Amino acid sequence: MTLVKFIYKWFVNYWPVRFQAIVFLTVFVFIQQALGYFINDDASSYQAIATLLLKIVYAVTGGVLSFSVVSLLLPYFSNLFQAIKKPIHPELRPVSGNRTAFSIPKFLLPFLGSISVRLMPSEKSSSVLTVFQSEALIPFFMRGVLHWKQELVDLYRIQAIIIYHSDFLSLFRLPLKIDLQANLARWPQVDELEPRFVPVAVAKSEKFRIDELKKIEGEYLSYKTFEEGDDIRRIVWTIYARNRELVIRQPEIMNPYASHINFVPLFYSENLITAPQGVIRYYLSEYKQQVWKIYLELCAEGSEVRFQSSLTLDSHYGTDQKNIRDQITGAEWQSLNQTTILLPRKFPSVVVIPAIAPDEVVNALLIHPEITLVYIPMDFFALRKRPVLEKLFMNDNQSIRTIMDIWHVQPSYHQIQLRERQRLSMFKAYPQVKVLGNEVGNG
Amino acid sequence: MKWVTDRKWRLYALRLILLVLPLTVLLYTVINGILLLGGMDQQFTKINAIFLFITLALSSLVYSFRFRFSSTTGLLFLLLYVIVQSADLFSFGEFDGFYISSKLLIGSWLIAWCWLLGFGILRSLVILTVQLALLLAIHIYSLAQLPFVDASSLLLSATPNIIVSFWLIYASSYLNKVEQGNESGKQLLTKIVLFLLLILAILGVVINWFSADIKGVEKEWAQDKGTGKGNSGGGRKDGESMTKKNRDGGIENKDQTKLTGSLQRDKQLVFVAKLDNYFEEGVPNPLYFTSHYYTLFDEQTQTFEPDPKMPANDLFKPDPSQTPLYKAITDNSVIKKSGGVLNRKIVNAEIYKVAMAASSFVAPSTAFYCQPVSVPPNTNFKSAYKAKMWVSELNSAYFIYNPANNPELKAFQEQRFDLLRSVDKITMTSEKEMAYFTAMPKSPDYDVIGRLSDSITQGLDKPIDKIIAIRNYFTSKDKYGQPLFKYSDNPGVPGLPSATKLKYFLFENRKGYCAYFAGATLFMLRSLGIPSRIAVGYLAVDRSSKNPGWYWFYPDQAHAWVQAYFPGYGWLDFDTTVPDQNTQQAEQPDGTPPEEISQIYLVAHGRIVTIDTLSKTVSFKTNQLVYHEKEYKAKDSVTLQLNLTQARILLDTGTLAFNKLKPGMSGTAVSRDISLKDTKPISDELTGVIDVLKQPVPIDELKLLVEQAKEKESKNKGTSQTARNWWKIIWIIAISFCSLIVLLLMMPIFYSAYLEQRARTNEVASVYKRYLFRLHMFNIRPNNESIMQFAKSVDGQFNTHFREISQAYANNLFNSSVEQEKQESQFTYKVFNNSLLKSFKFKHRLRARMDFIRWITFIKQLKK
Repeated sequence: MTLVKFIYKWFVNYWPVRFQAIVFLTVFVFIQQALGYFINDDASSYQAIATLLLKIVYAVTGGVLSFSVVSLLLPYFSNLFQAIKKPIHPELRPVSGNRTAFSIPKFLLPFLGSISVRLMPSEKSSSVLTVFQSEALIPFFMRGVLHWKQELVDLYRIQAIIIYHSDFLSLFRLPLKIDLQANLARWPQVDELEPRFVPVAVAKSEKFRIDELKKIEGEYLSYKTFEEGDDIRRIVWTIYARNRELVIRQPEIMNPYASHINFVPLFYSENLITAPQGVIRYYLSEYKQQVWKIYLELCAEGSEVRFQSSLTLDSHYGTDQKNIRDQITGAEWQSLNQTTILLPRKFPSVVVIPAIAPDEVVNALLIHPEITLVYIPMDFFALRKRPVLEKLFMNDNQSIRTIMDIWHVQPSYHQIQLRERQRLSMFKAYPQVKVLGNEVGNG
Repeated sequence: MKWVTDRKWRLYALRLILLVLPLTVLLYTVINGILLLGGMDQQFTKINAIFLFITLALSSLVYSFRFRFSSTTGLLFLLLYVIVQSADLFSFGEFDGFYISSKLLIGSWLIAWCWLLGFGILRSLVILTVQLALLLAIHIYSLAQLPFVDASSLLLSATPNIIVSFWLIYASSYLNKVEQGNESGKQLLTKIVLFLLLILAILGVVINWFSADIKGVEKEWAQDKGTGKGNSGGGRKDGESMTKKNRDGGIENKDQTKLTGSLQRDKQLVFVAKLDNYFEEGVPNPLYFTSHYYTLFDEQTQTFEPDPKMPANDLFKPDPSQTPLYKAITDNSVIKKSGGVLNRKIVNAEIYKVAMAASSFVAPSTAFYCQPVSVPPNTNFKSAYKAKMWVSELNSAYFIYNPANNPELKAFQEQRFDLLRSVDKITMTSEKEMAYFTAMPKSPDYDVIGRLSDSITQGLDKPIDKIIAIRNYFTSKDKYGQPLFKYSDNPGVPGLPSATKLKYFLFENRKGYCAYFAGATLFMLRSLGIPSRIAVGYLAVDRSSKNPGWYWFYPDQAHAWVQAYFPGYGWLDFDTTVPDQNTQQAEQPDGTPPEEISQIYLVAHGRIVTIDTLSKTVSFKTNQLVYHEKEYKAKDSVTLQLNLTQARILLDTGTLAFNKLKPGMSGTAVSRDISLKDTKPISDELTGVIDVLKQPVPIDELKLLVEQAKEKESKNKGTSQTARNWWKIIWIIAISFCSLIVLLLMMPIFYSAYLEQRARTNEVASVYKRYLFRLHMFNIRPNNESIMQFAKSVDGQFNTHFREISQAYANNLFNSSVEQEKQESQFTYKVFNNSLLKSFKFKHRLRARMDFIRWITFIKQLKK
């Protein structure tokens, strides 16, 4: 099976002859045979002229083909030679939106032809093919913009790129593999913000900063063992020196958390989910999108939003937006047995829970009425179900929709829907739970 | 042009112009070609073409968006089907109904086709390629069938379609890439122009390459028209013919005969022959005329072929077109090789060719002598030759004809059989020969033929009896009293792919033409151990009561029969083909035989030296003369003045005008002038004859040798070509010199474009270099100044913002900080350039563009 997979991958990545070329040749041979059948050898002038015309067509075709091949081979071998002589360093740089600037120094383009680039991510199985047109006819320096067509919000670690040289009739593509370390990301995108999830506890608070509080001389009544996310500066090193125990001081302030909000997106998922991998990945992508949106909305409120994450071991209360975006973008589903349940210890908090979160997580969170829970239902995305007529007559530019279309008729879908309905009815008893509704539809 | 907003619509507009429009034109021409071929009086009008355009445009519009192919196309086809079907329901009157529904049907087919093409343009290059190839093939087919068009205009209508086809494939794939990429309009235009130039260049080279062939075809057509044949539209023939047409229009027996489904014959006089062969009572005794012997059978192609390596090859094959007039070619070795000594005699024949190829030679077997002779004037005979043959008396056509049920003929033929019954066993001179002429293909299919011949000849000992039995088998009747075998020009092809055609002929179909009968007989004889071969040529029929000894040959007399070897008697003809029962041969008109050619006094072989067009005389170098039937030869050639006012100048293919004569042509001059009748030569030397002759000698006929004439022609061409070549070389040198200068003048422009390209990388160094180059070209260069000093002076002089980039460059040079790079985009080169240009006159500006010496100094400085 692995051999088959290998061969398949090799064909996808390195096979130089396009299907178009095979068709071209087949048609050529077929036409020759067909006309040859009609043109018999009765030596009439009809035969003479038909043969002559055919010959001319052959010669022109041969000329164009050979020119096309030569104009492809010359730059290809020149580039190959360059690459062997001195490693080529193509540059991939994200630009605004989801575009990526791409440039290679000293690179020849096939005459009238084109170059396309396949990015080879390290972990994720899907590779990305983008067509790249150079800006000049015979460039020595290629520069252009890759149109990043990735649908899913994720971080891609590119390990290599394959540069395909393609002739002007698009009959062949010659691959040139170049090693390259680059990270590309499909960031979550937010069009407009509409603050929806005002945390319960902040509602009446005065706004003053914790930094100011820090300076207040207070009595340190209690100590607390150090936990993930605690401020390292508060560690009492004397106690550590004595007991080898990490302990922090807890200041006694009447309303210590009034000025900031904890933002805790959870990425726990059940292992039991029987939905197809594609759907789960798609849900993850959409979930990230929503998490990022909620985060930005909270930020727009004006209060300091601290990001608490179970994603990395060295998690901390982050405030760096870029860092948080990276973390959200690169997030993966976590199963419970990997880590213990992360619960916010400080309030007010906004916790985002995915639809596929295990029951234990949900139950553990529900007992704290101070925590604002944002539940992102799977059914929210089921909105993308397309009407039959559209399905029948329109292609879809998103491959996920095809998977969704199929999934909608599978039993696992109904299973999840059933559970979700149960959960939603349960949530009615808890006012702190907000369910992301249909009115928030945003791709 | 920038692809900013509504890019899709702009692309669609581009597709309409670049793809849909040319495709419509292509379709229009192809459809019109088909209609013309089909002989329809209707034309595919331009309004119809607009409909095609609309369909294509609609289709490409639909598929510009994400519509599904299968469902949309399916729906459209269903709709068209319903419309076509429902048209029958509404009756418009019988004729109108038919007319309208057929129009609707054709229209909907076209719409469906265009729809698919529109889809191909947008989404599937494969579909597009297949359809374009189909269109091109149809176009070539229909073009080639069109009558009365000359080759160059044909090419003119074919080549645009080739260009358009390639263009469509390229542009379609290119535009699809543009959709995803980020090309500007300028690049798009450049690429389009470059591609068109490329295709045109390739086409030009190819047409130049084939120009000789094109002219050849044109010439052929002109000849066809000249002989009144014309290029008959739809003159394609399905079947095999026993003869073939050469390029010069001459008819010749084929080198090979395939066994095919049907046979085609023409009604055109091929040649006329006079045979000096009579029975004792003076009754003409016709003979079969042989052209080739087939001794090999290619199992793969089911083809009989002549074998040049045939042992004891007794085929005499001179080329009369390459032999000077009245020069005799003899090969006596064939007489020995023919193996015949008994009942043999020498027979003379004269053959006058009409449609027969000039180079071919036919005569009764076994010919050994050929002498081209002049043809009488004012006839349609093209050329003629005399032949002598070592003929067996047993090969009289009356002995060979398949008697079928003619008792008289049967009785006559018994004479020959009685004679041949003396041969008990057939042996040849060597075992090898015997094995060669009794070879059979080794396959079970041919074993069946062997078994059949065994059963037919059961109980017979003598070879001749076996042959008779086989011949009688073909003429025998089945149990219903019907002939077992029938003659048919269209025997059909066997349905089973494995069955050989002969097997099919012998056991199932039992219909065929001469090649089938001859082929079957050959294998039956060979399986019995009788050495045999197939002879191909013409069947002689004595139809002329007015002109005894004269025979007329038409293409339907082209024939194949079998020759069997009898020791002592040599190769004897046997014809087993059954007479054609159904189609009674139409009486072929016999023409008048050529007149007796009057006495020839002078024949001179030689070469034309000079030509005097005014008095129509030529000087002719000769070293070989026949005067009063006596041959004179000399080592050194002498010059004769020939008067050609009355002469016919002949080529094998026809006559030649006097002004087409060129020095260096060789040939034979013939004179029948009475004035020569009484002049007798003074000596036996060649000069003796020349001295007597009154020069210029009036000549009646000048026959030129084709190949040599052609060679001379091409040589002449060669000299003029070399002259032309000189001009060509001078032109090429001049053009390349001019282009070199232009190139040198353009160098700064190219270099500046290169710098512009480099500057796009936004590297400060490259950008700075570009500015520096511009300044350098205006002869502004730093004189031991620092970067900033120089910038200051430039800015002061021209009010530019050169300082900013210089600052960035300097910063970059000394502390390569990244942030400087960003600043660069704030000042533009355009502004700088404009303010610089304002300060200079046009003359200086032009110089700044073209001065390549400044460019060189700049490059030099860079290197420093």
